[in-house]
Amino acid sequence: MALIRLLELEHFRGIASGVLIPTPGINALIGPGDSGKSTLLDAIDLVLQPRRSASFGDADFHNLDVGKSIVITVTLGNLPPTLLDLDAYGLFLRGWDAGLGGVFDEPAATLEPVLSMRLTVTGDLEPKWSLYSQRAEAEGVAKDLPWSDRVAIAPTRLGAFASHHFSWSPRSVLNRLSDQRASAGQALADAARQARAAFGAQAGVQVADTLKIVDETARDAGVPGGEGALALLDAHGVSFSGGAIALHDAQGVPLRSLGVGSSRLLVASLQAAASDAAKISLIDELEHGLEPYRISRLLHRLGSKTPPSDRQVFLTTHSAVVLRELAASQLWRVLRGPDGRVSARGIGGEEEDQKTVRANAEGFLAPNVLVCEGPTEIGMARGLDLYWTGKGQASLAYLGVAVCDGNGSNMFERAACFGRMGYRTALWRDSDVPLTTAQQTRLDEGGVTQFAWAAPYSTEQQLFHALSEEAILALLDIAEEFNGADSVAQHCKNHGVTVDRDVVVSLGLSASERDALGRAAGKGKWFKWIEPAEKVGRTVLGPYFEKGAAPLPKVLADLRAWMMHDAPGADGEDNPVVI
Amino acid sequence: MSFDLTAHRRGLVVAPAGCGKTQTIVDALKRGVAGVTLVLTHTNAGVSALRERLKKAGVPSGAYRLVTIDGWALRLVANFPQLSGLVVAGLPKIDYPALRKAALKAVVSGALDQPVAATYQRLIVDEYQDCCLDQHALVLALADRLPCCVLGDPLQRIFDFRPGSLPDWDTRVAVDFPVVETFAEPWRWRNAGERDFGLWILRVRDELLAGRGLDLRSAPSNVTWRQKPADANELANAQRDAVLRLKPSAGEGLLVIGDSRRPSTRSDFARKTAGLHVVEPVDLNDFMGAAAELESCRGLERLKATLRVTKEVMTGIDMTALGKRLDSLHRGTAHNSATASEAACLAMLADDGPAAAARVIEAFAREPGARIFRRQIMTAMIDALHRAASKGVSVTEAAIHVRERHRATARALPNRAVGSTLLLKGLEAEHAIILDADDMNARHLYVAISRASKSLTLFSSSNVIRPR
Repeated sequence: MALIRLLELEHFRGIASGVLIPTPGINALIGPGDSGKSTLLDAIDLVLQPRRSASFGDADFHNLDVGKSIVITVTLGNLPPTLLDLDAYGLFLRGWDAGLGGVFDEPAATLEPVLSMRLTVTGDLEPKWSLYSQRAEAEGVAKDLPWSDRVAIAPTRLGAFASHHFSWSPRSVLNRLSDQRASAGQALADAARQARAAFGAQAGVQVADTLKIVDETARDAGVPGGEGALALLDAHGVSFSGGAIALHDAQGVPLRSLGVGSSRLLVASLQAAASDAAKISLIDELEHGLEPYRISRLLHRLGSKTPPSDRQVFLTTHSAVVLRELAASQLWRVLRGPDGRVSARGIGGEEEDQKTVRANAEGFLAPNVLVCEGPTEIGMARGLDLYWTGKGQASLAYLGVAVCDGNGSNMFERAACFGRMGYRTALWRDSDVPLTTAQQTRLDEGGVTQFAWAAPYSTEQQLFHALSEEAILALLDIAEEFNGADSVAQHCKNHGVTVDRDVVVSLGLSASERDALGRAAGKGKWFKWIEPAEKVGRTVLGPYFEKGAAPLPKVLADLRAWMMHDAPGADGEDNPVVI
Repeated sequence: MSFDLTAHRRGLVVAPAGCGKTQTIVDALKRGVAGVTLVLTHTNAGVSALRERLKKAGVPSGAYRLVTIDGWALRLVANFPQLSGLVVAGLPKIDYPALRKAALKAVVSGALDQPVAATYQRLIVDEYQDCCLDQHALVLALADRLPCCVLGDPLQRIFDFRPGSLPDWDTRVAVDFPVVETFAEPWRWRNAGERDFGLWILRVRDELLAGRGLDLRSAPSNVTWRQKPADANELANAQRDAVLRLKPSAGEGLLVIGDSRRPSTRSDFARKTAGLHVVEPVDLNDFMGAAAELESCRGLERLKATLRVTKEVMTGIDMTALGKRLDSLHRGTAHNSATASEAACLAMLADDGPAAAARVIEAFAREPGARIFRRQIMTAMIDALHRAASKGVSVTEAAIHVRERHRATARALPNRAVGSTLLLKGLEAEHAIILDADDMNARHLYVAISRASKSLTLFSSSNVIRPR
């Protein structure tokens, strides 16, 4: 059954123009709020959902400018034979080039035959659905798919609330499970008549005065029928449609009173079961109301682990749990450029991309990513955040900065991966090992900003070299707190240095003593996990770094400046890519 | 009939006249085989006739797509101008050879293989003997993509106006489409209770195919040979006599087969022979010519042109007498008041619009002495004139519209009709009279004799006819 090859939007809500080239299988749309993820889902829904009409308002036009039309085009491939009919759709068949990611107006032997469906809304707010090809437009020929074909390709949508799927209402997934239809039919019509009979004239007593006036007025005016009018149950008022028939549990409780999570899980699973009929599913905020284990179960039902099939799921998510369950190739980062152009970029299908998603799922959900070499830098970044927040400054969360673990030598790939995806990315590393040319190139390609020390210092060495004696004593306090005084003393001794706090305060530390301490800290792994490093950041680096020796103040000031640059993705991003 | 067209991946069915060719197509579609069958034929009239048969047989319309080869090509090219390399939208006139080549280009590009396979399950082409080289190439290209059976009869190949325009039957058609069946049961005659007559016609066909002559001495009693008198007047009288003598029973039809190259001799024959009607060619040339003439002149000249076309389609008009009457009526010296037709003529002198011209023709058609023998031309002309008046278009434009509408509808055959092999091919009647069999080649002769299911009368100089 038909799959979406290309989605194009013009002038729709927050999107001046936008393009999505999805894959078969799951397409998870991620990106900061207001980037247009839900608008993309709405766009697909509006074009493909069989409707006689839909209500549009001025707010659906980009920037409220109703002078320009909303145009949403969905190009469908993998067409069933009925949609490939030369006689019916010859003028509309087009060719899809998967390699180029583009549509040619006519098919070719090397291209996949596709049909483009277009929704146009002009300033009069009247939506028009039609097949589209350039040549049909040039000839002024307009044609829509017949209703039955539109129903066949219609997507099912799972919004925040799923309860309407539990009755046989027009867009319920229940209608997709089989060809059977619940019909109010004769039985309900009879029930309505019985209700009318049972109700009888009892309302007459309640409105006796009104009836009397009607009676008198009708006599007066000579209107036959108005005289002696009765108040009865209006048979037309008791109307039943398929929507009146709903699923109930064995005790007769309607299923729509299930919890949000349970009902969404059940409906999504039903969507998966209905996939023979409905190949395209739209799911808003997949994680909404679901515990992590139910998220993975649901994704599994939707085909997260099966190879790309002939069905398609479009979902939006803000959950790292969802990301970890998916392959990198199933993720799309939705980006909005300053000009309102929205594009969706694939996270990529390489092994490194996959590892990055698994290890740093949170990073993919923020516009800015700070990749740290290891726990020391992560902890210090968090500590600094706490320090700055305590000073009343903006937090990393507020600034949209995710701190990610680069896991040592993997940090280059991790940072480069984020950078390629268009995230504003920085890498914070130490400088004990010089970068290879290849690593440098990868980082440059990703547009990654680097924060590093003076070579060849490790982070510990840099701290012990650059901070004041007072700060160093605080570092030693933290080292002793987390490692034990004896252990710290032993490490110092091993590196040929003993620390006498009074002497340090009165005489200061020599360069060689600082160097030995730096080595001892590194070798002894004093700060190589998050907790001590966080404390270092909050209680030492924060208060003392500005008075430290070069390059410490500048590195951290630059890092802070990078964090404060809060326009999401503003300069880490090159031109929005039309993929 | 047991033969199943759909059982063959690719094949040619040789179908002599009246041997159930159309029924085979109907049966194939009626079998309820899966998918849609594309049925191609040559003329719009053929499409209408076949559609009628399919409808009558209760074949669901979703089971087939029926269109002319050129019509199919036109739609394809219009839908895919780039693939076919030809833009037809907005062209005033279609260049058919270019159109067929363009459609071929689109099909062989391979771009449409998937849609073609999704749209059609198989292809059937009727009247294959009429396929020109380009059409043959197009059908072959489709046959590479779909199961394809073609039906035809080399001995009914009479539309070969230009030498070399058709693929050779034996070395091309029968090679590209191997013969899977040759029909040999004369169903049309069998159904009329005249199976022996039908078998004789099949034997004649074999003889003609082998290049031998037609020997009337062995003919069954259904066949009457009339020797042509040497004198032209005597021949004309004898021919007329043969038509008048033939008294078909109710519901039976008669086809008179005249000279295919001189249409005027056929209308002359109809004018002089009571009860005969002329079968017109689909392009309605005489009608178009008359329409152009009417448009080119005004006033009295236009009245004259109107009278000429009226005289062309009916008897009972004496132009000389009419001229005198109109003159005296005009000057007020006539003793008798104007008849309805004379009044219409006078009215047209006052107002020479197309509606007035139509009223002239209508008035003469109602005169008691009038016998209309070219009703098709007359109706078309009246339609066109009224259309020109009501739509405010020129007579020629209205005539083109009427002709195109006519082209798309099935020909309703007059009960006693005079035509030619070219016009009557595919049509049938109980009785046929061939006005001059000497002048025909083998194929024309076969088409002519195979029109009749009960009686056949031939004029020829000898009872053994050796076709040209």
